[in-house]
Amino acid sequence: MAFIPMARTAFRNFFTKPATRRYPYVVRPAFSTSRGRILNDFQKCILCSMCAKHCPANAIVVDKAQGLWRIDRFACVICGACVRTCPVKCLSISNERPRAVDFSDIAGRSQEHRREVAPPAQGAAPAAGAPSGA
Amino acid sequence: MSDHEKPAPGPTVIPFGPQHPVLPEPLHFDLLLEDEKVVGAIPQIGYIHRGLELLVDKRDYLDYVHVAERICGICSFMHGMGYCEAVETVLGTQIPDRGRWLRTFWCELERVHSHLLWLGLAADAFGFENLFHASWRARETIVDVAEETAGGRVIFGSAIVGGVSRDPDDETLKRCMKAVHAVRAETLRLAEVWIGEPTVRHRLSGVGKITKDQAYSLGAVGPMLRASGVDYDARRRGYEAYGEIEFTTVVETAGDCMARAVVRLREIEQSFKIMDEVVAKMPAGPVSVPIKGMPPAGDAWNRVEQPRGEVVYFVRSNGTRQLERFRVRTPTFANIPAMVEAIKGASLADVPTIILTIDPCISCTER
Amino acid sequence: MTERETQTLEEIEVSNLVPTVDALRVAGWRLVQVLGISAADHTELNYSFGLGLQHKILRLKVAAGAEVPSITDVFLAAYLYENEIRDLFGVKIERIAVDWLGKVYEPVQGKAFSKITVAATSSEGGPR
Repeated sequence: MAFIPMARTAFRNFFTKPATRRYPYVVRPAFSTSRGRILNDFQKCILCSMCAKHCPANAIVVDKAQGLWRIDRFACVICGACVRTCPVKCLSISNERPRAVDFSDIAGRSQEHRREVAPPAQGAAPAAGAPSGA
Repeated sequence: MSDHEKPAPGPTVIPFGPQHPVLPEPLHFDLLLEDEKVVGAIPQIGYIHRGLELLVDKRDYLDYVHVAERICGICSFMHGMGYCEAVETVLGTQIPDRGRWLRTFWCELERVHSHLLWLGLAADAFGFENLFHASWRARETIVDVAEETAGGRVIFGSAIVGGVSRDPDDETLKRCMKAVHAVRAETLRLAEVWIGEPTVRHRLSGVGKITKDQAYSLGAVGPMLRASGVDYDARRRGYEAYGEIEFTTVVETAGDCMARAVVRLREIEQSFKIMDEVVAKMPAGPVSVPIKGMPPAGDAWNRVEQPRGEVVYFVRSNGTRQLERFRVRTPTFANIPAMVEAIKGASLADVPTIILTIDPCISCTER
Repeated sequence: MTERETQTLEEIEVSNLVPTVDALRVAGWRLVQVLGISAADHTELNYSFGLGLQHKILRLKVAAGAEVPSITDVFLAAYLYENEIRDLFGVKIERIAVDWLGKVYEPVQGKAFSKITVAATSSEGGPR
C-alpha cells in the first residue's frame, strides 16, 4: 500500500536525531564563502566614496572632510558591489554573520571608522564640508 | 426595527486572501459561489508592489543587478542572470565559458530549490504537513550547497554583468554533488508518496483541469502549460550552456493539479541529471570579464525559463550609465488568467490547492 | 537572442493594432507580454507574441492623450497587462474585458512610470 513510505519515514523519525540544531547552543560554522559582513581595512582606505556611490542600498556614508567611513549593517545586503568598485581594495566580505544582538541599539547598527584630518592650510579656500555619498 | 430582506439572488461572494494560511504572498480573490461550487473568481493584485522597475534609472547599470536579484527570493538568481544577459546583449560582450557553465549550474540548483519548496507548500495547502516538512528538510541540503558555492542560501548574489562573481573550484562542486545525490534519493521517496498515496491522488486528480487550447490561448507558461500538453520550454533557446546539454522537455497531458505536480517532480529529476552533466563538463578558465564605461544605446530582449515558467526581460539603454527601462514579465503574471479559469467549477475546499498549483510568486508579479 | 530563435520587430499604427493581432492569433501565435516605455511626449507600447521559439514584437507609439483599443477581445489574458499600463502610464485603453478601474496598484502618486511632461499634454499634467 502506498501509505507505507510516509509511515516508514514517520517511524524512522523516532530513532534518528532531530533535523534541527539547538541554536544558539549548537552553531553551524559558516562556510568560507558565506556572505556575512563587509569589512574595511581602514589603513588603506582613501575615502574616495566610490563605495558609497555604488551601494544599491545606500548603506555607506563617507565624509572625507571629517575622515569618516560608516556602514549601516542593517541596510547592507552584502551584495559586494562596494568590494568590486573599491580602487585600493580595502573592502572585503567576511563570513562572520552579524548576530541579532548587534542590531539591538542604534550604536550597534553601524560600523564606523574615523581618522584625524589635518585642518586646511592657512590661506587656502575652505573645503566644502558636505558629506559625500547617500 | 430592520425589515428582513431576502438575500439578493445570485452567487455568494467570499473573499479569499490577502492573508490566508496557505498563501506564501498576499493575493486577493473574490470568489463567486453557488452552494459549494465556485462559478467565477475576480483576482486582485497590488499588495506588494515596490516599483522596482522605476529604480533602474537611479542606479548604475552594473549595480542594478543586485536590485533585480531581490525582486523575488526563490527566483532571485535567474532574475539577476536574465538582467545580466540582456545587458550583455546590449554591450555585445561574451562571457567566458566557465562563467556560462557556472550560471547553468546555479540555474538548475535554483530550479531544484524552488520545486522542493513548492512541493512543501502544495502539501501544506491540502493539509499534509508531514510531507511539507519532509520536502523542506530535503531542501536544506540544497540551500547549503548554494551557500557553499555562491555565498547565499536563498539570494545567491553571484550573477554580475560580465560573468559570475564567485568561482567555486571543481573539488567543491564534486563534493556538493555528493550531497545533492542524497537529496535525489530522498526526493524519489517523496515522489512515491505524491503519486502513489491514495489521499493525495484524491485531492489532486481531476482538480483544476484546463485543456490544451485554454492553456495556450490564455497565455499560460511553465509547468501550467506543459502539464496540459504543450511542448514549450524556454531553455530550448539554448542560452548559457543549455545549447550544449541534452535534455527533453517534460510534458504531461492530463492538465489537472496532479499533472502539474508530476511535471515538477520530473523536472527535479531532470535538473539533477543536468547538474551532473554540467559539473562533469565544466571547463576551466576565468569566470568573468571586466566591464567598464558607458553602455551603447539600444534595446535587448531576453527570455529565461524560471521554475515557474518563461520570464521575458527587456532592457533599453540610452547611452548613459543609468538604463532607461527595465521590464520583467514574470510567469505568475501570465498564469493568473489561466488560474482564474481553472478555479471555475471547483469546490471551495479545492481553491487553495488550485492557487498553489501555479506556484504563485506574487512578489515577482508585482515587482 | 540565440541562434535557435528568431525575433522580428514591426512598427504598427493604432488603427491596425486589433486586425494585426487577430491575424497572429489565427496563425497560432500566443500572447507573451505587453510592455510600456515612457518618453517625454509619447508612450511606446510593445506587444510580444510567441510561436514555438519565434518572437515577434509589434511596436506602437501612442501620443500623449491618445486612445488605444484593447486587445482583450482577441487575447483575453491581455487584461492584466492593459490594466497595469493604464494605471502606471496613464495611456487610455478602452473597453478592457476585466477592468479594475484604476485600482491595480493604487499608487499614491498616479501614473508613476510616465515621463510625459506638462508641456506635452494640454488638459491634464502628468507629473513624474
